Amino acid sequence: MTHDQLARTSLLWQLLAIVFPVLPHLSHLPIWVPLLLIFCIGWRSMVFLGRWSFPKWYVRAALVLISAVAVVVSYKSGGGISSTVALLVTGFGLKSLEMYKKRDALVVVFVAYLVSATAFLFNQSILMAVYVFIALLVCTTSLLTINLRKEVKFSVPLKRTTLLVLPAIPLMLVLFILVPRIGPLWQMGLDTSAAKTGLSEQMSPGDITQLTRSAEIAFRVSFEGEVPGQEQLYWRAIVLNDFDGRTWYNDTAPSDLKAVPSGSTTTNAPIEYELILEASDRKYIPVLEQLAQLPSGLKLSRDLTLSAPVKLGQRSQYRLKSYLADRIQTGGHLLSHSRQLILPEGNDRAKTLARRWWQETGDTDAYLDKLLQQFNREFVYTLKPARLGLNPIDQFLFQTQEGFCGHFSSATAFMLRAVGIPARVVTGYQGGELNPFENYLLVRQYDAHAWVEYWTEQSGWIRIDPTAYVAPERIEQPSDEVLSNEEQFLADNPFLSTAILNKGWLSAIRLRMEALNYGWQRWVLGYHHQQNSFLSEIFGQITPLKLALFLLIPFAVVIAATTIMILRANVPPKLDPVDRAIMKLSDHLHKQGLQRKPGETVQNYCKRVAGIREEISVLLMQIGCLYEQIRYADGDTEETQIRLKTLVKKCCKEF
Amino acid sequence: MFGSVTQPITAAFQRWASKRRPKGTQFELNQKRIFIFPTAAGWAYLLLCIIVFLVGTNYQNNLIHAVVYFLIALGVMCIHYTFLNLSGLRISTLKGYNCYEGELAEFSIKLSSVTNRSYYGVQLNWKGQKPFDTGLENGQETTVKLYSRSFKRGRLTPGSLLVETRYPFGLLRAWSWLEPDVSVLVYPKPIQGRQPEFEGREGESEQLGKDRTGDDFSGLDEYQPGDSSRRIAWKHFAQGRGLLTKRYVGNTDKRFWLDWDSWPELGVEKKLSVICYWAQQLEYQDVEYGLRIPGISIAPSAGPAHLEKVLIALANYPGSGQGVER
Repeated sequence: MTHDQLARTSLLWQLLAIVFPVLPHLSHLPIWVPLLLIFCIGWRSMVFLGRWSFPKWYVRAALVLISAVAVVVSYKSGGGISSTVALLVTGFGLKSLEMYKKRDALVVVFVAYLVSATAFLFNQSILMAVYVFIALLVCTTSLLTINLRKEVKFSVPLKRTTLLVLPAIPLMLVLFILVPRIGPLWQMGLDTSAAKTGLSEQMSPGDITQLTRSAEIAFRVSFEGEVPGQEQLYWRAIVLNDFDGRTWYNDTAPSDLKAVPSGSTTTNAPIEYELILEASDRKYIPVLEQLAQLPSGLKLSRDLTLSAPVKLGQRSQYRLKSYLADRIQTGGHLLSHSRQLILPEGNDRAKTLARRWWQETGDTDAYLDKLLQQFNREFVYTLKPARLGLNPIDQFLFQTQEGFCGHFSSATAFMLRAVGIPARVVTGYQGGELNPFENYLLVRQYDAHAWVEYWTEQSGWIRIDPTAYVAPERIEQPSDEVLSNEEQFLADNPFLSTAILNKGWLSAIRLRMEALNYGWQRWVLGYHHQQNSFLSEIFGQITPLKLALFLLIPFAVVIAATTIMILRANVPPKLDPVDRAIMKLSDHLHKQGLQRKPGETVQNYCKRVAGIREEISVLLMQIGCLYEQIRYADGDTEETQIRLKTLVKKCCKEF
Repeated sequence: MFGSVTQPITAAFQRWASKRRPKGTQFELNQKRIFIFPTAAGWAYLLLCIIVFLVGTNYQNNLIHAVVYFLIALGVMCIHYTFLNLSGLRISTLKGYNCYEGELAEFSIKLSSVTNRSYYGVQLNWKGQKPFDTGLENGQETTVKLYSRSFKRGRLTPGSLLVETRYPFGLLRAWSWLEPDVSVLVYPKPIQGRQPEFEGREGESEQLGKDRTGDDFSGLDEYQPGDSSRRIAWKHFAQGRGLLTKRYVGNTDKRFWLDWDSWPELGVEKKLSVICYWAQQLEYQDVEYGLRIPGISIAPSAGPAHLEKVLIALANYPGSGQGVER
C-alpha cells in the first residue's frame, strides 16, 4: 500500500459516508440524483471487488457534463438550497467514482458532513436529529479510516471513533448552550416546502373549508400565567376591510403604526405569552386581541394586526403581551371609518331587509341581536355548504341558510355596513388544544376562524362572532371535539381521527408525544429565542466578560475532565502482591545502598545482600527461596504470599 | 518551485536547531518536545466549520448550529488526541548495524511507553528518508527497524529522527525531532579488482578462486564464537546435537596478505574497495588473510569476527568523509 492510497476498510466506510448523509434528502431531490449515486457507488463497488476497472477519463467527463446539464434543467427556476444540495450530492457521487487516494476521500468526507448538516433545512424532527447524529458518526469514522495504515476489521474504526466522539459531546453541549446566536448575515430563500398552509389574504366564503380540514399545526403558545378560557382566545391575524360583493380583501394595505396606541379598554393586567409560529409563507403573526407592546422588528398595522417584515419561511418564535378584551379602542370618528362602510351594487334583498330591521329596532345592539337571533333559529352550521351564485349574501340569507364562519361573518359585516355601521371581517384562529403535560396551547389549521368587528363611537371596534350564535359548541369547546362527528373532518388524516375518537390511552400518548415535540421545538429548535432569558435566569445580567468567562470555564473543565479520563490510563499496571513485597524490601534496603540492581534476579539479590548483612541472612535466604517457589514451582497461593509478606516485614523491622 | 531558494535556509535552520536538541539514546516525548500544528486537512476542516456555521446562522437553524458545535468540539478534542498519541512515548535507539557503502544501514529502535495507552499510526523516519509506520498496543513495547541510505565510507550518523503522528483524524500533525546518539560504520563498497600476487607464508603462491578440495575432514570441535559459519556441521545441528565446527587438517596453513602496495595503480578509495572485495572473497573461501595498510596491520586469520575487524579498519581509513552525516 503506498502512502496516499486508501485502505480497503476505509473505502467501505467512505461509501457508507456517502449513503448515510444522502438518505434524508431523497424526498426532495429529483429522481435522477439518487439513480446517479447508485450507479457511481455500484461502479466503485465493482472496482472494489476487482471486477471492473476505474472509468476512463472521457467516461468521467461525460458523466460530469450530463450531471451539470441535469442540475440546470431540474432547477431551471432557481432551486436555492435544494439545488445546492443536489449539486453537492451529485459531485459527491462522481467523486466516489475516482476515489482512490486519500485526498479524494477527504473531499468526500467533508462534503458528507455538509450534506448531513443540510438535512436539517428540510426536517428538524427529533428522529431526524438522531439520524443525522448517526450519519455524523459514520462520517467521522470514515475520516478516521482515511489515515489508517494497516488493514483492520470493518468494525474496529467505528469502535475507536465512538470512544473518541463521546468526550466531545459535553463540549458540544456547552458550546450549544452558551455561544450567543447572531442573526442571519444575509437573506436566504428556502424553496423546499410542500405547500404551506396559512390564512388567505382574502376571503370569499368557501375558501376556509380547506383549512378547517387540515390538522397541521399553525402555532403553539405557552402562557406565563393561567391559560385564558377557550371563549377568550381570539387570535387576530388579518383584517379584511374591503368587500366587492363576493370577496373580502384589502385593496390597499393599512398604514403602519410606530407604537401601540395608548389607552387600554380594560383594566385587566396584560397577559404574557410566547408564540411559536410554524412556517406559513405569509407575513402575518396571530396575536390575542389587543397588543400591549410592539416587539422590535415587527410591524403593527392600523388595524392592530402584527406582521413580520418578510414572509415566514421557517418556524419563528415571539414573546408577546396582550390585553384580553372584546373591543379595541382606537378613537377617531365615523368619517375616518368610511372605508369600512363601502358596499358595492348587488345583494339588494339583503340591503332591503337590513333597512327594514334597522327601522324596526333603531339601535345597534337591538339590530345585531335580531340578526343573531335569526341565525340561531334558522341557520345551520356545516362544512359542506352549497355553492353560492351571483348575489352570495342574498342567497345565503334567504335560500341556503347554511354555512360556516366565513358565511356568517361575511353576512353580518354586510348587514352592519348596510345600515351605516362600520364593520370589517377579521380572520385568524379561535381556541386551541391545551396540552396538560407541558401547559401550552396547540393551535391547528382547523382552528382557523373568521369573525366581525364593528365600530361604535363610544367603544371603538367591538368583536362579534356570529358563528357562535349558530352553533355555540363551535366556540365553547375545542374544534376537534365539536367537529369529530363531521365525516369530512380530518378525512385525510386517519391516525389523528382515530386518536380523537378514542379519547383513551392513544390520545394520552399523542399528547405526550406532542409535549415532547413542544419541548424540542422550544428548547432546541427555538433555542436562540430562549437563550437570552434562559442564560440571564442562571447567570444574571449578561455582559461580554461574563459570557467569555462562562464559555471558557466549562471549556477548561470539560477538556480537563476528558484529559484526566484519558490520562488515567497512564498509571502503570498494578504489581501483584509478590512483586510489591520484593519492591518494598528493595526500597527499604535502598537506604543502605543495597537496592536490587536492574536485571538481578530475586534469588541472586537475596544471596548478595545476605553475604553483606549477616544479621538478616537467614530471613533473606528464606525470602529468596519462597520467591522462587511462588514464581517457578506452582507455589502461588494466598498462604505463600502472606508468608512472603510477613518475612519481608520482619526483615525490614530487624534491619 | 521555491525549493532551490529555500533549501539552504532550511538546511541552515536544521543545523542550528539540531545543535540545540539534546542528544542521547533514550527519549521520552512530553510537552517540551512535542510540536503540534494543523495539517492542510485541518485547515479545510476549519473552513467546513465556517461554512456550516454560515448555513446555520443564515437559516437560523439551531440543529445546524449543533452540528457546527459538534465539529468544533471534535476538532478541539482532536488536538488532545493527536498530542496524547505521542506524549508518553519512550524511544530508545538500541543498535545500528554496519553496512557497505550504497546499502541501507539498519538501526533498531525500541518504542515503549510510560503509560499503558495504545498508540496508533506513529511514524518514524530519519530526516529525508521514507517513514515507517508503527504503533503500540496497550503500551507494550515494540522494536522497529529503520534504514538510512549510506553514501560514503566511514562513520555514518543518520541525523535527526522525526517522530510524527496524524492520528486520529489527520487534522493535526504532532511531531518531535530527536537527535539519537547512534552511528554505524560504512565499509567501502566491494569492487572486483585485479587479483594481487598473493604470497603464502611459505612463499608458495596459489591460484585463488579454486575450492580447497584437498582438505581432509578430521573431526568435530565444539563451536566457538568467531568460527566461520561455513564450517558449522549443520547436519549435526539439525539432528539436535548442538553446534559443532568441522575441523580440517592438511592444506590449511595458507596465509595471505592484503597489502596496500599490491595495487599501486589505484586511487585510495578504489584501492580500499578492491581490498574489501578480496577480503570478502578470502573469507568466503575460508582462507586466512591478513591486512596491511598504512598505519594498521592485522595478522592473518579467518572468521566473521576477523572479517569485521578488517572491514572496520578499511572503513576507518582516513581520507573519507568521516563523521559527515549521511
